[in-house]
Amino acid sequence: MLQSAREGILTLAPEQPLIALHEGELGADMAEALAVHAGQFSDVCFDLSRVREIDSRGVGLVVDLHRRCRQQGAHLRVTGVTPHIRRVFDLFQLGALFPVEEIVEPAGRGEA
Amino acid sequence: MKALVDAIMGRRVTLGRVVTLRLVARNDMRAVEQIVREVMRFLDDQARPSEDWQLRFALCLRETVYNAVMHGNQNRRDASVDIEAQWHPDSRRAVLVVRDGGRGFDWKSALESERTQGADRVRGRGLVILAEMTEQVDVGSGEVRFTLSLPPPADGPA
Repeated sequence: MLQSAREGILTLAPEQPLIALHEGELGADMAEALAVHAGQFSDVCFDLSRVREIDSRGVGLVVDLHRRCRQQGAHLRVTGVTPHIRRVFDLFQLGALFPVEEIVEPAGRGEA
Repeated sequence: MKALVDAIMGRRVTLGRVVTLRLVARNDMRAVEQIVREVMRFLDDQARPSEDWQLRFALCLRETVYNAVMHGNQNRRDASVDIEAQWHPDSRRAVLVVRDGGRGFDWKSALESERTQGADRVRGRGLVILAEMTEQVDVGSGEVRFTLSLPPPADGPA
């Protein structure tokens, strides 16, 4: 998982699908990042722009990250969300827990 | 990786116009992604579905197989999971049937239980995904079946 901490914002960017197969590894990476940078951030940006697939375990990972952020007094924001992942988030009203921002496609993509 | 390769075997059957892929997999969560690849390759060969449709079907497939491995077969390594993917070309429907060694469950009450949990729960979302992302779900004894249709093909050039 890519990560960076700057100006009070910890950014975590998974590069694998958020599915059960990767649940253990992703959960451990998140926990480690939050511990390593503890006290250095007030906001966490979970950047999903490299992720196309999610399942129920992946949703659980994001909710667990939200819980961990709250425990550390930080706010979670999820960015780079594809329409498919947005649809899954909407099934569970995750937008009520934390802000969810959809992926921004480069201007002009798909045009002749 | 040999164990994973051995974890699955399958064959295709054509009966009338319906084409079916049958897989038997070990009751192992590590086999799930191989099952997903095989089923999605089969459906891609049959119907060339859109990426969005494939993402939706693969999600429901994963949830159904997880349920079979963890709940139906209770994570028993000596158990197996049978997967049947059917393509019905006339109605443009894909039907997925997953069978395990369990006794089945009460779909309505299990779904209701998931629906009433708070948004901040970590587990317990698979049945809601199945219910909301497919057109039909049928649960029988040791069997879960769901259906997802493809939209009519776009008209070709005149």
